[in-house]
Amino acid sequence: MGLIRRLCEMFRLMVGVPDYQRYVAHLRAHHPDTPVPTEGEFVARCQKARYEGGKQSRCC
Amino acid sequence: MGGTIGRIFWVLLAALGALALGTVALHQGESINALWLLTAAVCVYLIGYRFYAQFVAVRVLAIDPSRLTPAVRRDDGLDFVPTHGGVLFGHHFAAIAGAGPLIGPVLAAQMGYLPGTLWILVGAVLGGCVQDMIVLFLSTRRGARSLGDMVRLELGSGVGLLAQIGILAIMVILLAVLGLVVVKALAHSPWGTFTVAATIPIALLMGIYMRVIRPGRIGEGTVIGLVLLIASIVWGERVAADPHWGKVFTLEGTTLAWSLIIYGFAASVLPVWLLLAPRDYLSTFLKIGTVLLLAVGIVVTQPSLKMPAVTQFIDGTGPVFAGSLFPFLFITIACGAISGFHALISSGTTPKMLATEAHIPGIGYGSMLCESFVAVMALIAACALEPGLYFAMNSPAALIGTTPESAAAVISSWGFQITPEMLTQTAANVGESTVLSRTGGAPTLAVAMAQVFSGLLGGQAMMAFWYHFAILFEALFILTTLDAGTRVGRFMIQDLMGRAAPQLGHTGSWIGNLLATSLCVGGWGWFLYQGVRDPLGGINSLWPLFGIANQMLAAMALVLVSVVLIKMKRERYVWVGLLPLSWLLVCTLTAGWEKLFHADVRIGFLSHADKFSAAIERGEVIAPAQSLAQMQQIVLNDYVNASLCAFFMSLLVAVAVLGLRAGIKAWRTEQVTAQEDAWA
Repeated sequence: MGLIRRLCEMFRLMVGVPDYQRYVAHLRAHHPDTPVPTEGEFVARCQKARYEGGKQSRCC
Repeated sequence: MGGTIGRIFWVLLAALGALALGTVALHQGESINALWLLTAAVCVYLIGYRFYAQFVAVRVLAIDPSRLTPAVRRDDGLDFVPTHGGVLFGHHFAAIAGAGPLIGPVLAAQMGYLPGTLWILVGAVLGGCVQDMIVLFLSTRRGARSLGDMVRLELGSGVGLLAQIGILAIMVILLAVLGLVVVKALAHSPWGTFTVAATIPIALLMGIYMRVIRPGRIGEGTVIGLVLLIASIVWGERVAADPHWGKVFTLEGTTLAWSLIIYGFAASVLPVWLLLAPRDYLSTFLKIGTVLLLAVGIVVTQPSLKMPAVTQFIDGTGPVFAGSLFPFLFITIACGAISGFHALISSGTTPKMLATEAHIPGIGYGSMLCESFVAVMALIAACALEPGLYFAMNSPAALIGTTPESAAAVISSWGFQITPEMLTQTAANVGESTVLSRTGGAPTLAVAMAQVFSGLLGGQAMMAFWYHFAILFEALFILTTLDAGTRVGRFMIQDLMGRAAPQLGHTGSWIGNLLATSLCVGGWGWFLYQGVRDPLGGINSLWPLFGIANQMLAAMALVLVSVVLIKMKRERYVWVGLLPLSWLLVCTLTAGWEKLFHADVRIGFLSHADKFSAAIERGEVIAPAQSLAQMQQIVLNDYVNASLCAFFMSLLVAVAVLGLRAGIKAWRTEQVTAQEDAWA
């Protein structure tokens, strides 16, 4: 993977959004019956998980 | 690096570090170049990482790179994902970096640059980094469990409940103190208030863009947001100068406090994609960018530290916060040296993405070193200010009066020369009406950063822009924390309520939800409001409480670390946890005791309450109160603060005693009793 792609991955992960392509690949490989979310749906789901679960602590 | 060359490198580095540290410590006279301090810090960090972190990883924890981590075993492509070490390092650092390491060192600068620097370096290398790294290790070996769950698992459900209550209490105090920092920075500053208010429509716009117009395009949305943010800073100058709009955005502290409380309530019930998420993106990237820029700025401009190495205020008479060097320096600088909050982050999402245990030192210990470096930079920036200006900004009006003449006279009498003209000129340079008594740390840091940044780019003409950029940068991520923290607090309260009345514990319960949100906002709002009204600046009473709470949490995490080391039957290394733990216990309990019982009314809550109670009995009204009702309010505030302080202390003592019992029991047991996941 190139440096730029790594940096993008890092920036997205900093705000709690994992790699979308990787998730799609995982779904295709392990859960072929599950419908694949669009990137928009994927990001929406990540936002919900990060802020609504009450698990993500904020640091001082 | 091969054997001999490697050894020569480390010997040279150690020599350089010793030279730099010696220069910093023994320097006499006018001023010293900040590069000495920076060099000393970097050498200490590198040596700490190369030797101590590796020692802890290899000898103490015996990390096993061949062992499968939760990310590998439970790879689901989403939460549990084996992640590249560098990428995860960025994630972890962004998660632990907050406002704390920037504010604490600025406040501690009143004692001079040396005490703060030494504590940040020693505290991080032997304490904070070790805590972060071992908690990450423990969580990785326990299916990425959270700190609270691990305490329950290893120390029993009683200690688990105590830890849970402690985490909630520190959350409330943290939100109050951060809110206070924002209020203090924005009061009577129309330019700052406008730019911070502008972040709300900007975030809404970004939210809609990333949700509706171009779903999922975080990068595009954030770039648009950042451009608008810069535009709002530029435009803010015109708004502040406008006769009508300037007045609209000139707000009193109490108005701002109420606005924050209402905002905190409203924001925490909005959908997350609309306001919270977009603003989190802005603040995260702005934070990383600003920290990097500050590092570049300090290296390029090489400011001189004008603050003395040690000031007379180590005796406890300082205007910024009351209390002597021991224990209050170690309470004031919490984040940057040891921060209990990091234990929550290290047992949060990071262990779910750790590809191999070999990454634990780099991510756990390494990220905390970077955080500590941020604290050193904040200290450098604050100490590079003219000391007279520093004290004018950070002393309450009750001490220095409200005019440049009175402030300059008082501060010069302390031995820090400053003229009224310099104070008015600085205010004009940064585009504010006054710089006097802008307590709370954020305005000081903003002037300090503006000085560094304008030296790098734009010169004097850009000073006002950079000042408001820095205020915005701090306010932005504090507001994000208020919003997200209120949600986290709500869940914690609902969880606790659910133990008493199960129907209130369901996250779907509207009544439970509303009740928990109100309790959380009401909790931090109450402390925020009394802090804003406090004539000594509020920070004076709230920051030590926050420091005590944060160190209490760190101590709880270190109790867990020490007990688990014994349960792993690695008790000969238990000092790795006990060393920072005992220091924290001594500091936190001493500080708590002094905040409760110290005879000096500026330090002890109870003696302060006594003074006002006695006056009430005599029917006297003493400043700053203007009526008997206000006098009674002050006494009540003192009792609440005192109770909270006593509560933190008892919680800490209880956890320490229960931990000690568990540790002794494990010591006497022959076999390993640590509850790790089976090897895979």
